[in-house]
Amino acid sequence: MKKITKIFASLSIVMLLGSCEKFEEFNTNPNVPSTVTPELLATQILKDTYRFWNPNPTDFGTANLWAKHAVMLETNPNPYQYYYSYSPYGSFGGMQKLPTLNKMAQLAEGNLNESSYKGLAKFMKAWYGIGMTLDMGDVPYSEAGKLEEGIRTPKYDKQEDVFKQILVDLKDAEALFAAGKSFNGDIMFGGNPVKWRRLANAVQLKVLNVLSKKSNS
Amino acid sequence: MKKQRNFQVSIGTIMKVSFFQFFLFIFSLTYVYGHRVNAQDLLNTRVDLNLEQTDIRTVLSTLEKKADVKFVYSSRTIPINRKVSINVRNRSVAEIITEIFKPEVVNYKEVNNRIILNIQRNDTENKVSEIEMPLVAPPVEFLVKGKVTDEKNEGLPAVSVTVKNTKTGTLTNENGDYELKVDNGNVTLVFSSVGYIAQEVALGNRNTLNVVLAEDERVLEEVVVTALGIKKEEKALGYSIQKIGGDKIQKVAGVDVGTSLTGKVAGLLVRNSSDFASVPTVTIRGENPLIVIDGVPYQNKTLTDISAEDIESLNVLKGATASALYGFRGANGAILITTKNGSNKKGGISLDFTSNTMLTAGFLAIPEKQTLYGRGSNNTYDINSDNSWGVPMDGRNLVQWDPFEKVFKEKPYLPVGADNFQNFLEQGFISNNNLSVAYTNGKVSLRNSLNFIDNKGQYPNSTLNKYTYSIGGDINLDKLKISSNISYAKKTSPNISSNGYTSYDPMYTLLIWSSPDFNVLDYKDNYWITKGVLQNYTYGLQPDGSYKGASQNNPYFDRYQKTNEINRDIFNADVSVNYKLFPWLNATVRSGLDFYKEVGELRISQGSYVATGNTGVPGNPYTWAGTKTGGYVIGQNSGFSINTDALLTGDRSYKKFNFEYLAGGTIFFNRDDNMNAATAGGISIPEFFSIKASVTSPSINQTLYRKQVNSLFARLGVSWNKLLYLEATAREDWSSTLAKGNNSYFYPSIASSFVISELMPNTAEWLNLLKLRSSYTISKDIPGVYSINSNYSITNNTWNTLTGASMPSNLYPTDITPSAANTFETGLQGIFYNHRLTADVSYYAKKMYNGIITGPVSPATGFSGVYTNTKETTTRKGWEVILGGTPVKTRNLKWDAALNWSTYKRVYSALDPTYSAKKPWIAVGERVDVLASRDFLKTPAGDLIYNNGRLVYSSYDTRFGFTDPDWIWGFNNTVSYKNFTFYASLDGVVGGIMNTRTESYLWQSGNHPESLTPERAADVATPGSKNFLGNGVKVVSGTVTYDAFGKILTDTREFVKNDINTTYKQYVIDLHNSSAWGGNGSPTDTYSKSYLKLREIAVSYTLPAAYMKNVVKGATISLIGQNVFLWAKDFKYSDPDGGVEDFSDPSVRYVGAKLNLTF
Repeated sequence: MKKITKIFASLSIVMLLGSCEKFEEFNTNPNVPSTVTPELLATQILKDTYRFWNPNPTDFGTANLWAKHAVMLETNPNPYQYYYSYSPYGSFGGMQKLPTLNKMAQLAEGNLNESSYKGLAKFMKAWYGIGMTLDMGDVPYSEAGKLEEGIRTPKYDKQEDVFKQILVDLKDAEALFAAGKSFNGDIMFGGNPVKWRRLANAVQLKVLNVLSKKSNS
Repeated sequence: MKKQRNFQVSIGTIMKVSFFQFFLFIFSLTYVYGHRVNAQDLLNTRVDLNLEQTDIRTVLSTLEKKADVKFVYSSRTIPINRKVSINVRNRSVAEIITEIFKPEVVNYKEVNNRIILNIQRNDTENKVSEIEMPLVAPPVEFLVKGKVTDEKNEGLPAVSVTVKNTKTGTLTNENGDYELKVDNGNVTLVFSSVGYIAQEVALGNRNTLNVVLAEDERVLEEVVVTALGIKKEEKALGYSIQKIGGDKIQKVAGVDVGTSLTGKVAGLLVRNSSDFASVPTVTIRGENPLIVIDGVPYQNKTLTDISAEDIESLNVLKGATASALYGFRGANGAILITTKNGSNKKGGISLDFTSNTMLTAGFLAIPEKQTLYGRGSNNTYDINSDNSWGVPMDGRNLVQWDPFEKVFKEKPYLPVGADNFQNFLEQGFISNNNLSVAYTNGKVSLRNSLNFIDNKGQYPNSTLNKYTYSIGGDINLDKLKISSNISYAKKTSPNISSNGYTSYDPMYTLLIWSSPDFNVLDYKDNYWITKGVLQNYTYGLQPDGSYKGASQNNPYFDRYQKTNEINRDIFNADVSVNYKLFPWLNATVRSGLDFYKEVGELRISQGSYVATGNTGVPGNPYTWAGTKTGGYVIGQNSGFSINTDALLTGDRSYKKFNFEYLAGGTIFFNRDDNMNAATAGGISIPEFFSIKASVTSPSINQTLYRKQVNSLFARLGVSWNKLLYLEATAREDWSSTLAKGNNSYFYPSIASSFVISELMPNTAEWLNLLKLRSSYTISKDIPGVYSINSNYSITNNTWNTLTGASMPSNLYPTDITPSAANTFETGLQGIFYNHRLTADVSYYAKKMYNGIITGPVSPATGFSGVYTNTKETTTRKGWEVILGGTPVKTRNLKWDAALNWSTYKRVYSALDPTYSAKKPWIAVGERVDVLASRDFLKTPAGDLIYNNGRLVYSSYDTRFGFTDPDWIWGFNNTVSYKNFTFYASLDGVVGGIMNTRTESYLWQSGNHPESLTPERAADVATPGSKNFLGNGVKVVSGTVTYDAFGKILTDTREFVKNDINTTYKQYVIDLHNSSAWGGNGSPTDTYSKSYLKLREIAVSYTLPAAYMKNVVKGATISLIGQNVFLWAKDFKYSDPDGGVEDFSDPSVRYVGAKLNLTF
């Protein structure tokens, strides 16, 4: 009887031991990071945005590259010859980057280069906005990228309002870069805020130029 | 580092657990061995017994349970219905027996571990059945002798033999022999024994009368195993459980037990693919069941790791209610496997040897191809084309590759490879051998079993070996029961290849993408031009000497130089300790662990024209390595699961009420590790297959998954007067895969059984049981490991040396709750004429809700999806019917038949306004299992519309039909005649549709045997001409507009009969749309899955005991067959049994012999 009690006691203890690993930690994946630094996010987002994907010669005729210098002659015209964006279709894909931009700015808080990352976040949002509204006119902008706040169907803003907000965002970006320090992860300007400030200004001019024919606003 | 150490600690702990268990087990064995049990011990076993006003039959059966003894008595001599009261503590069985039969004197005698009871009457007048001498017998005129045996031909002791309507009688002796003097030779003798159906036999002046008594299942109270190993009487069940005896799946032993299970259980669908080394998939009511082996729900050990010979019985728990106590793992039903433990033998040592050997003997279905036209893609000869849209192979001289001289030269163009595919196939076989040793000595039993399966597939270099070794033992002491099983299984193949639309599949290479203009046998053992570097094949090299490559290899090269090796090892051990704390309370601790490792290795030679493609290794499903560079890919999964239950169980009776109760807890932990690596840039040295051979940095990946679920549960069963049974269970789980604070959930279940036959005592003659059951449960299922986590993905060196990170594209809220299902089930069961006829009908409805989905959202929200609980609800409703019985039963001939039939449909019962897909066929009441694809464009009247002579596909999906079968059935027959047994198992699927990829690509590549049409001949006669005129219309004017689903909104089109020709090839290619790589199968290639199969057949002869003296206890020789005959509604060139037709290997018939010897 005593032996049996011992057997039972031992088995019960063993059973409990088998379970004493850290229950709470099992759902944490050790092979992926749960937090990152802002420069890692910046690198990937800049690459995803500005990388030129296709070495096909005709792609150099698309809007962003040589379109203002050369004329593309094709027997069957392609939509990409006429639209601003590379893709022949408009896409809200840029807005899908907004949570990443917010995260980048949030992760930089308290760092010396906080202002630069915040400027980059503002600038990139405006950049995506320009492409989107030129492709499609009225687009979600003011409420875009806010699913975490519960906005599942962001409202469409009038194109006029989108441009107004883009100009505000670019101005903010410019001011933030002006106050910013050099930052890491920048594959465009090596983290030089001065160059980014210039770009923010240039893009503002570009937007105003696009809007000049509708200057009533 | 810290985590690493924790892991080591836990491995250590678990190792300790199993070693501890092992030592405990061995220790206990030695202890009991030294304590030999003999007959006297049986009678001296001391127990407590407290029963009031209980009939003697119940007292005896209670005593049987408590003291673990078996009584044998005749109800004619023992006053079984007499009520007695007894209240004793720590008294021997002998004393108790003496006590309860007072004032009568009982004789007891131990025979073969059974105690034979006999009353010695006090009054001589009624003294009728003393063992040796029937008293009231003068005048003695007639002597009858004989032997009473059971169905296994073993002598039955203590069977009461009486003359009908008299008190004359005797009992059989230890060997079942009896001798009786009767008045005359025309009396009727009655043979009866507890546990057997009584028989009346007219003597008919015979002096010798041998009788076989059949076991009385009614008396034995058919016991089934329910969740957590609780044994219950069948009539107490409120849900559907079907029991399959091990003998039913051992008639024909193939590679997998699953195959033998096909068609045996209503609602259980087993898909047996004809592909080599593919494991049958088992679903119950359309879902994947939990596999529980000896009470342990292992995570990794499955049916394929078990030898059929080791299975004592299978209990299939069909619905969620039956398996409610298994929690989320039992949400789809469960298959409980009880392995043999040796204790059911009569004692001593017994050795059992079984050998099945089957050879391939012909085909149930095999693809064919045309042998008229050779290579080319536009009706001309093209030496580089792997299509067969070329010129006739009519002996004209053409430049061709010479496999022996290894040069291009002109020679007659002939269909020398007409039988290439069949010639490539080899004789296959299955050899399944099992040796087991069982040893029982009193209260200890042990069993050792070794199984070896050798399987040779049809293709060269395809072998599969499986080894299983298991040892199990039980110790049954007065209050303590310990049982333990340890087993190890290995599965290994040097090349399991890969099936489907991949160059690994010889069907891709030899049937589809090549022409019969070369003889494949010329390339056997002749697949190199430069060993290790450049292969010898009819495709790939150019007449100008350049090396172009091809989209397929020499098929022999593929078999030996592009291999997919697998090795799987699995070890498991369990121990279960049961201790009787009080007469009304048992404590059980049961722990089981399985540890597995599976390794996949792809080796691809530098000479390969094609990559490994979508052939995977563990952890890397799409390897894409090695075109012309060679490659080596390895993936290794390893892991373990440990499941520990602690249970308190018991039962008490109060008047007519009986209570059964259970409370317990389970801890389940599971861990899976994966490491996989692949060479990059090829291998540096020919035939050097190692990660070290990688030309550039190899890619390496690692994953780890851990999960723990802790549970508490309870069960209460109440029965009243064996008429009404009620059972309720409750379980609460805490899962590590759910968010903290939101990680527990509850499942209840309730079941009832109403034994109608108890109210109909007058029907006892023909009605053994009529029972109505119903049950309801709420089951839950949890998200996978890490599913709720939001993690960054990292790209190393995304831009020069910079590393990039991205946020996940989905949003993962923390309020995810488990998916749930409410299952209602009801059924009616009847047993008639002592099991000569049984019937069982079930109906169930399972409403599935709160499913966990990734709901699509607009990217403007910042995400592409939300991981969330959907409001979409679906309901699966189904019927299951089981009919069984023994239509013929005479002394020599017995026919047992079992028929099962089941059907279900899953329909939408509510839609999620946000996340449900928007399709015309997605609506409440519509079926879920839709096969939808693009149909041909047709006029409103139904005519095909041709554009420039060609068929046009619609831009919108159409519902072609449903993929689930309308119903499935199985029909199993066993006919025994004297020592012969004939067994046949038939099953089938009716309804449901799927694409045929084999035929579709036979058509597209120009190889289909039915493509030899006059139009094709005309196209070939004048290359460039178009000779096929499609039967339909063309549009001459007007336009059509559609809504989002393809419904016509406006239509101003005008049609005239199509008058534009196209080529026959163009028509065929349009008609048979490519379905590989995510393409849509065309309606032409969509076939009915319906088939009927003669799954297994066996003719057995059991050698009479007399032939074998005492050397062999039993010997059975059988002629067996598996996959014997197929009828399919639409499938002509392939076997639809696998449920998916993606270049299914030819379906082969296996025929052979089986030998079973028992020593």
